[in-house]
Amino acid sequence: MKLLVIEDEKELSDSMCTYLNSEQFTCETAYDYHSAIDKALINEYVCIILDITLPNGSGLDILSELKAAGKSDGVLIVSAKNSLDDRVRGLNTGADDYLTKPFHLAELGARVAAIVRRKSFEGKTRISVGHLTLDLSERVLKSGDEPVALTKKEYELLLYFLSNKNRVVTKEAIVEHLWGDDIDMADSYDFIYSHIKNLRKKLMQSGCPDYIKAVYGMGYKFSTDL
Amino acid sequence: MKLFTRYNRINLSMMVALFLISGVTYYFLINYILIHELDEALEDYRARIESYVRGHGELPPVSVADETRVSYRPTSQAPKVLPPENVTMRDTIENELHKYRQQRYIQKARTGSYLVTLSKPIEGTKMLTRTVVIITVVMLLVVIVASLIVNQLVLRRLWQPFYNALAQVKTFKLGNNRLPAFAQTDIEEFSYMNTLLAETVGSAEAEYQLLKEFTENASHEIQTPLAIIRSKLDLVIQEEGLSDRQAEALKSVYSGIKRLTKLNQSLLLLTKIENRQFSQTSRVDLLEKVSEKLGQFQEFWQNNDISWSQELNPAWIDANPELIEILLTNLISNAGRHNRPGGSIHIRLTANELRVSNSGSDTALDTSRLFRRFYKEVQNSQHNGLGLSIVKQICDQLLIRISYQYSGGLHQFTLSWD
Repeated sequence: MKLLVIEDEKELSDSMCTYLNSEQFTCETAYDYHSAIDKALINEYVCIILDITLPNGSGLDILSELKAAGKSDGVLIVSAKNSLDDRVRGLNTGADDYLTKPFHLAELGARVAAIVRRKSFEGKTRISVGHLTLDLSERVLKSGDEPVALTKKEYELLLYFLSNKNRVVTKEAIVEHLWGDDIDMADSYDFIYSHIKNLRKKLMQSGCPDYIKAVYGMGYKFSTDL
Repeated sequence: MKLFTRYNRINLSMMVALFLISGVTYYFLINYILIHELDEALEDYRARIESYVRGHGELPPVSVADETRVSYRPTSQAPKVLPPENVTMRDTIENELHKYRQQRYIQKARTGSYLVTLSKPIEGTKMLTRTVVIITVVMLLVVIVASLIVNQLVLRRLWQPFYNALAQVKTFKLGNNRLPAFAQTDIEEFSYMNTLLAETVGSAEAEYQLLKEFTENASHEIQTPLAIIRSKLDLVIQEEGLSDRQAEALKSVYSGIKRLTKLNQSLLLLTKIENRQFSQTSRVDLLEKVSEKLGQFQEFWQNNDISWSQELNPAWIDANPELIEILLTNLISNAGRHNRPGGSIHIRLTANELRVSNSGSDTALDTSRLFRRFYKEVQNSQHNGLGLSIVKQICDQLLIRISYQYSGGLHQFTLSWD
């Protein structure tokens, strides 16, 4: 599946592509308005990551053109502007989601994965986790037909890990994803440890190997290929 | 004082003064003219007596029916004319005191010298002066009433463009991007004023829009490098085989970036609030909002061994929902952040008041600097010291009163509104 990253800051664009490139996704890039329009209109992308402020034009105009051309690619707006107005305008123009800079790449991964799931797997709302299945429509984890009881936070945590499979995700990024940006308990992210511990325990009780590894003391990595 | 009132006051006192002066002047003038007339009449009378004496050698007989009273008295003095004077005499018929103008002179006749006294009543002049005074007073009243009516009707209409312009300026709000429309007027002063007002308001609005753009651009310019740094860090930690020391260093860099990001966002937020970019208001259910926030923070308080109690009643406020959100987040997260393990938090919401109390440091905060930017209780704190100044700024804009109190070991922040 192809992704298109429309971002004029080359360094940021490179980071996003490096992070998102995987067995599942290949990334293409566009650095200005015209090349972005050309690529977006000719090719089919499962998700377009779109910066608002571009040389020669606005990302919102690209979005309008895509919608006018009847394109149904998923669009994630990535903008430095963090005001309700811009967010509302972006979403009203037809974007699927809105992410404010600076962001964690893991958050980008989670948002892109969510859009891709919505856009391309309309029938498939299950993700397999080893021999378990995460049912997104019912929001439950199942072992065969038996549900594995997860709290709301544990479910979200698992989904976040699955969207960033084989990547190191920082505690900071997890906190921001699960509790929001407002929660700022200084530098202590230890409280998420109990959630991780419980999730890990439940997965292992259902017969999974230990998928979640602590990395460098700063984050975790979820990996099913052990 | 209103312009009309002041104008009327000056106008009326001027008129009263003028009428009084003119009344007094009339009185003296008319009095003088009448006396002068009487004196001339008496003079004529004397001339007639003198000519009669020259012809007949004796004084003329005194006529009782005549208005002029005449009396003769023998004297030994030499002929001379005394200056006319005012005297009061008893009227023989009515037996009343009356004022008279009197002319006395010595007349030589064949039978010897006589002192001739000629008197004419001044009654007529009294009548005239009274009339003058009445006319003056009546005219004064008429003029006052007339000028009041004219002022009410004409002046108000004349000043209408001015009041229209005032009303227009009053509805103008910077940042709405709606310029007031000043009505056309053919009065030069008002038209000039309207032009000036329109220019001033227009340029203020333009400057404001520029400032807004600047804020947004500054945001973009700072956020982008931050985004690059953070994304590169996210990539670096994907590498296998980082040493512990490298990992420690990266942790510090992460935390530094986070602080910088927060700082930038807080400063931008302050600027935005100051620029009144959150001007849309709606009715906010505070009970719902506060409960929501409490739910969000409970877990953290539990983890830090902080107990909390709440007493929430229905409350509503007309305000910008985004600002209320930020306000509550800042206040409530502060209560946990500046607490101590085993501490407590109490939240009480009533129809017009929200009180957040929490345990924490053992001394009261410095109230004179509490709401200042970058105020920190502890200098090396990880917090940027902007939280409370954001709270204050929001309260100021939403017309919410905020006060701080330290009592019974609790730091209390009280918000109250109407």
